[in-house]
Amino acid sequence: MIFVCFGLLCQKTFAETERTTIFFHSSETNINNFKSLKIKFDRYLLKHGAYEFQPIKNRVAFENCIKTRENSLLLLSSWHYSIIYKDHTLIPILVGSRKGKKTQKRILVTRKNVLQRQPTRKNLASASSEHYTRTVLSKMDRVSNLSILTVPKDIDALFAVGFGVCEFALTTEHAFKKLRVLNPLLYKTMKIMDSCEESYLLIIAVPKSMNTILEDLCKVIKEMWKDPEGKKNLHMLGLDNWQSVTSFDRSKLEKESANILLRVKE
Amino acid sequence: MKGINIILIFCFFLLAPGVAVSEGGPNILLLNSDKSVEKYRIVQEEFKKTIKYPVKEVYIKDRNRNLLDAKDFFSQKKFDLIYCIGSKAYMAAYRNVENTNIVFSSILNWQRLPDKPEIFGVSNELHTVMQIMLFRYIFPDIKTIGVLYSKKFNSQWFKQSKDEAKKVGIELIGKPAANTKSSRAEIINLLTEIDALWLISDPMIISSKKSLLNLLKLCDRYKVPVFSYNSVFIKYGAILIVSVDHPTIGRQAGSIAQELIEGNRKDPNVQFPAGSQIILNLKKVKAFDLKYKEEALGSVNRIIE
Repeated sequence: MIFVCFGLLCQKTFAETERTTIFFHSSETNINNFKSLKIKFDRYLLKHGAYEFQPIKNRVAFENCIKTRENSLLLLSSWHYSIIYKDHTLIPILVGSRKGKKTQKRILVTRKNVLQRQPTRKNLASASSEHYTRTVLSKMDRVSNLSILTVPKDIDALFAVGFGVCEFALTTEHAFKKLRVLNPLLYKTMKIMDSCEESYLLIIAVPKSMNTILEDLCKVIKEMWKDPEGKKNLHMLGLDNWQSVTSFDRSKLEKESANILLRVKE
Repeated sequence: MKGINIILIFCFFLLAPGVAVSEGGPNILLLNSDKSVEKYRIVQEEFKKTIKYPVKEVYIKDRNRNLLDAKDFFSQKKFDLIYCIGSKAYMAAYRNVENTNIVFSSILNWQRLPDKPEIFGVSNELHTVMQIMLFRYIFPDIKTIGVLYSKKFNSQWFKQSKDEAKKVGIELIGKPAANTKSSRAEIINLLTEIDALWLISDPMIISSKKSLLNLLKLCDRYKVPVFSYNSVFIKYGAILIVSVDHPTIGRQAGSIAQELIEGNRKDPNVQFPAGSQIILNLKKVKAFDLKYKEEALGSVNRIIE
């Protein structure tokens, strides 16, 4: 009896240590419902195999996980992918999509009564990390002496402008359209000052040496939309489906990497 | 001997307690009302990360233990700016400090406190329209929201909110209570007219745990979802909580303090909180068979199931 219990305990421990992990980190969004994400994703993934979901708040800690846990999938922003894919020999497999679209546009929004074309010493609300926010502002050729207020959600950034907390918001076209539906009057008081070209939504990436376990996990993720619980999990990430990364998408992500490096050198 | 005296005098000033070694920088005091309160700690940490200067941190209380004699403390020291977390800190600074910029945060209903032109801060209450928009975002079919409120504390607020709600397509139906006991019949009447009940911060309506539980039991019986402002109500059956985001408040306070130190006056003096936290009780949503927008889950911070 003792040996049976011991065997079961070893098996359980073995099973836990053998779980394939999806590590998640996003600099582009302030998704911080980590506890709920982990509970719901783990519940869904465990139905399909020995998988688990691990959100990581800190970027350095996330990149360390990539180095130390090679047999894992990564869920990260396209911008972050573009910066680290070479160093960690990653391949993009899936890209998130929303209403059939796998890209989104970042926009700079202000109130219509703010007349200056170039901001002086002003406040900007953003739901992205400060590093990513400044990267996008430099793409727009916007001066970098803006004081940045990090807020939880893209819609909060718009509220910050609408209710006079900040002069500018860096947000998404998607969030701005949401505001048009929720509060047409508030929407009409704002205008888009500038925008970036479209960038990809969240990326699922694997290390170059993909094995069958990771392939199976990618399939489980790709079919999430078919399961009611999986669909909810997608919505928690701001998505409603996944699409396969094409060779065109891949070269665009790599080109983005070159642009980021060029700006760093400048 | 003369040289030793000079060294001793120099050491005295270096080691004297409470003297800020400014090195040309501003003298900033962070005054925390109660060391044991978690949300105060959160705003404190974010404030310190945001402001570019070092701050002196002082606590008024730790649970029931008083740590500071405010009058004595302020009589000895002069600061360029004081950041007050909580109402005790605010009143300590208000009573004992003149001609110094004060920034506050984490105070419920800040308007009840006395004011001065050099006081700035971040409200602890989200803008009414922001809350209503978020209610509608998650429950788009909601058209009428009921509110129980006391005439003494929230008459003005209700009138303004009703007008604001109308602009975003929501009818706010209010039931004013003159005292702590709104009749059961009156409440039931209200519940039958509305799609949801908005439980607001009102000391007459939430006068005791018993009155709160009775109200929520009635809402349960009539399957009226309850929206509110504080996560504590989730365990009593609320379906949706839209509350302030404390880290953002700390960052806002830090940003205001930074601007004041640099000589830029902030207008208006008191800002609304820019960030929100949303908790959705999906278990209750299913029990009431309510329709909600699944796409909105991306904006929800915590899901109860």
